[in-house]
Order: sequence, then structure tokens, then C-alpha cells
Amino acid sequence: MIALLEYLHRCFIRSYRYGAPTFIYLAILLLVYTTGSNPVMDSYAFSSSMLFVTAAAIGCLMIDVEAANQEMATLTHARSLVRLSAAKLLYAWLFASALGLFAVLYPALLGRFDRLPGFEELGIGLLYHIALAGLGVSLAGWFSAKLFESRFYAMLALCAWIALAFGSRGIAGALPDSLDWLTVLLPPVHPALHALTFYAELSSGAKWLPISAALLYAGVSAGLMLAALHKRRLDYPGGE
Amino acid sequence: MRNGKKRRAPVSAAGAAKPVITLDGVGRSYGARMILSEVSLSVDRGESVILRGSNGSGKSTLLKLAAGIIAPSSGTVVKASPGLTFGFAPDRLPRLRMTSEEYLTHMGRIAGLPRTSLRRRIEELHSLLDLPSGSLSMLIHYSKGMLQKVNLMQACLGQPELLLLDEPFSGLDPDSSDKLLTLLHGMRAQGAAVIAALHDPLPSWEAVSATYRLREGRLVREDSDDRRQERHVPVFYELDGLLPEASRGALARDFPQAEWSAAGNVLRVHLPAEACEAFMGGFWSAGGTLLSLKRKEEMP
Repeated sequence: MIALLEYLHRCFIRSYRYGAPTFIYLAILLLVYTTGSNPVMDSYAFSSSMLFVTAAAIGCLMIDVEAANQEMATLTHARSLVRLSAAKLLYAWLFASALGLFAVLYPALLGRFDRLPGFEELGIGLLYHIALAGLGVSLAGWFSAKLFESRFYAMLALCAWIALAFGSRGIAGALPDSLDWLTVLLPPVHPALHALTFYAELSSGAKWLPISAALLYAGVSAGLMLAALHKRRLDYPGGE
Repeated sequence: MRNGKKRRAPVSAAGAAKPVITLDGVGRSYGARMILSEVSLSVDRGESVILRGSNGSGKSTLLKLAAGIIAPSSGTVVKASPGLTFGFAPDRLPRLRMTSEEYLTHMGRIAGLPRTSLRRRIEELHSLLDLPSGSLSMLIHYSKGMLQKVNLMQACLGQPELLLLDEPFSGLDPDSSDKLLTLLHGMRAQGAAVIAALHDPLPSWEAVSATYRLREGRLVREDSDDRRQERHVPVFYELDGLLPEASRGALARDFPQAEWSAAGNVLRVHLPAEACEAFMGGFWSAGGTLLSLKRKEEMP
């Protein structure tokens, strides 16, 4: 797995695919924190929600980082499409988590908050960023050239899914009570943002629950995606 | 008919040893489009198989099925053991932003090869295929032929027991083709089974290989007498070459079935397939220079 991660790191960095999502995310952070006196956990709610979107973009770019022929050759050496694809998702998660670490430490170290955050806030803030980064990456795997014939439609579907995730609370309110459970299928972004926004009012169990929910959803989503790839193998839609 | 509804045992390319790979009644469709149908083939250690067929006939699909990259729609692909080592060279490698050594080192490490032997093997392959090792030039700056060499090197990295090559000679100059042939002959002699999709004639490799053709999704043995009689299409070879005047008469006497013509100092000889091997022996002995040798299916 380490050899795969090293190879993917070289492919990803030298492809410059990381450029657009990374720089847009960093630019948003720099812009938001141009002024001081930002509330700690509310700011983390914003930066982690942005990281969820950024991680989805990074995951999308990472899963298709290799050209089809290149991927076939790599697959014969890795001997498992599940291992290769899992390494891609893991790398994307690590990359996005590094951005999350920056998002947590940058405002704290440069005094952009209205007060100095405690270690617990820093730790929990980082965990929320990491969990939402994993959630974004796990969704992205589904919307790739391996499962969608058109990259445009894949991106469109991913954007729609992300929008639904952010609007899950409103959707739940609009749905009849009997269909309320449908929102469980949506990525649990809203509970995480709600927990960060109302952090001070939550019990300690309630602070951990959204992280567990996000990680559980990400694990199930990634697992199902890898199982789908295992069944399908490298059979690109429309390819001969 | 070997590809009829009643499935027959897979045809081995030669011997009775346990096959390295067996395809049994394999079919592959994309939607309503059938690419391969009831393909059966088994290849033993040290054997080589040539796949021929027109563009889109399913050669690459068959190689991908054998490599396990795609799954068959029907039938089974059985390898000699789950741990069978195999190399696969796709028809071309994209231009990557890394040097050949970096790329090959990554592939070898992913395959789990020890660092020391991997470094030695990479140097050996660079030397065998005449590509400078230690070059700082990235693959994005490589020519088509140089990329193809790197592609072949990655397939041969781990001394595979089964080598699957899609148009391996594409883009290679004659000198490089000879070097690749030497490498393939060497690997075959060491027991590797080789399945290669080829377009161009390659007498030295054909001589040691079983040739199959994909036609309308079905795999048929090219040099099978039964098949030729069934199709009623005689196979012949068209040779262009140079031959000293003094030697022509003797060869013409020995091979009365050959049809001779000349354009300037270049001879053209049409030969029935069964006489080709013996004729080539006489041609080389008589100091002939081969310009081209083409396989054809209709008499001129």
C-alpha cells in the first residue's frame, strides 16, 4: 500500500490536478480570515463544510488520475483493483486532511479568532475536518469516469448530491413524515455543521456523534464503491 | 465447428503440460454488441501465441480478459495458480511526468519486488532494449518508440510466467524490434508463455508461435489445415527480395509451385504457405536479401 501511495503521490503532484481545488480552498480561507475576531467553532463549521466540497473535487480528480492504459498497467502490478482504488481514495483523504490541518491551525496560530482556542477545540475541530474530508472523498469515488460515461454528467451528479447533502434539513422538513427516513441516505454533513455551530450547547456524546456518523457513512460509501468496482473491474462505460 | 453451441475442450497451443492460462468458452459483449464469442484457448509454459485480426476484432479485449482487467460475459478464465505472475503491455503507454527509471521503480515496488534486484532488472532491461538508463528526461518528452520500450519493460519487470502484449512492435524501429525479439525468445526459453496481438508479419516469431485469428468474435487457428479446407481460401506468402542471378534457377527448379516476377532488381515471389519455410531456407542459403514477407489469403 505504501508503494502505491508513493506512486499516486508522484502522479498527482506532477499532474498539477491538485491545483484548482487546493488553491481555491486556501484562497477562501485566506479571504475569510483577513479580518480577526472570528468565532472559533463557527469558523471551523464553515471551513470544514468547504473542505467537504474540496475533498469531493480532489477525490474525483484522484480516482481518474491515471489514463486508462496507464491504469491497466498499474493494475497488473498491484494485482487488485480494490487495492489500487482504495489507495487512491486513501491518498485523496490524506491530501484533503492535510488541508484540514491547515484550516484548523492557520487561524489559531495567526490569531484570527476572537480568542485563543483550547486544545479540545483544536482536536475536535481537526477531527470534524478529517471526517468531512473523508465523507467528500468517499462520495467522489462514485462519480468517476469508471462508472459514468460522461465526465460532465459525473460532475453534475456529484454537485447535485453535494447540494442535497447541504439541504438535507430542508428536504426533511418538506418531505411527508412517512418519507422522512429518506434523508438518512444523504451524506450527514448537516449534523456536523450543526454540532460545530452549537458546540458549546452540546453534551460530549453529541459532539462525537456527527464525526462517527460521517466516518460510518464514508466507510460504507467507499466500501460499496470498491465492491462495485471489483465486480465491474476496469470496464470503462462505452469502452471496448 | 469449434465455436459452436456445444462447447469443446479448450485447444492447447501445443503440449499436454498444465496450462499457464485457459480460456474456456469465453464471450464478451458490450450491450448488444458481441466482441468475443465462445473463445477457447489454453497456453502452456514456454509457448507463444500470436493473435491476429482486423481493427476492432477483439484482440485487445481478449488480452484484457486474459489479464483479468475485464470480466468475461460468459465462460471462464483459469490461471495455473492464483499467484501466477504476469505482465501486460497495453497498446501504448501515455506520456507521463516521470522518468523511465522512476516509473519502472514504482511499478516494481508496487509488484513487491526487492529494491536491489529491481534496480538490477531495470538496468538490464534498459540495456536489452537499448534505452539509456539514468536519463533525467521525463516520458512526456519520449518518442513513440521509446515509450513503447518503457511499456514493454514494465510488462517484463518481474520475470512473468505469462506475458500479454498488445501490438508490442508498434512504433519500434527494425533494430529495436530485433532486440525485443531477442528478449522475448529469451523469456520464452526460460518458460514464460507469451500471447501477443500482432498486425505485421514477423517470421522469426511466427516460426515458434501458434497463430490464431479473430474473425467475427471467434478464434480460429490460422495455420490449421482443417480450417483452410473449410474456408476454401488458399493462404500464400508474397516475398520481395534481392537474389543473385546465378541462384534463381536452382530455387525455381526446387520450388516449381512458386510464381516469380521482377521489378528492376527486386524479385517478387508468390509462395504457397506450405512451401514458405523450405523456400526461405533456400533463399537465405543462396545469399538472398529479404525486403518484405507478407501473408495473404487470395491467389493473385
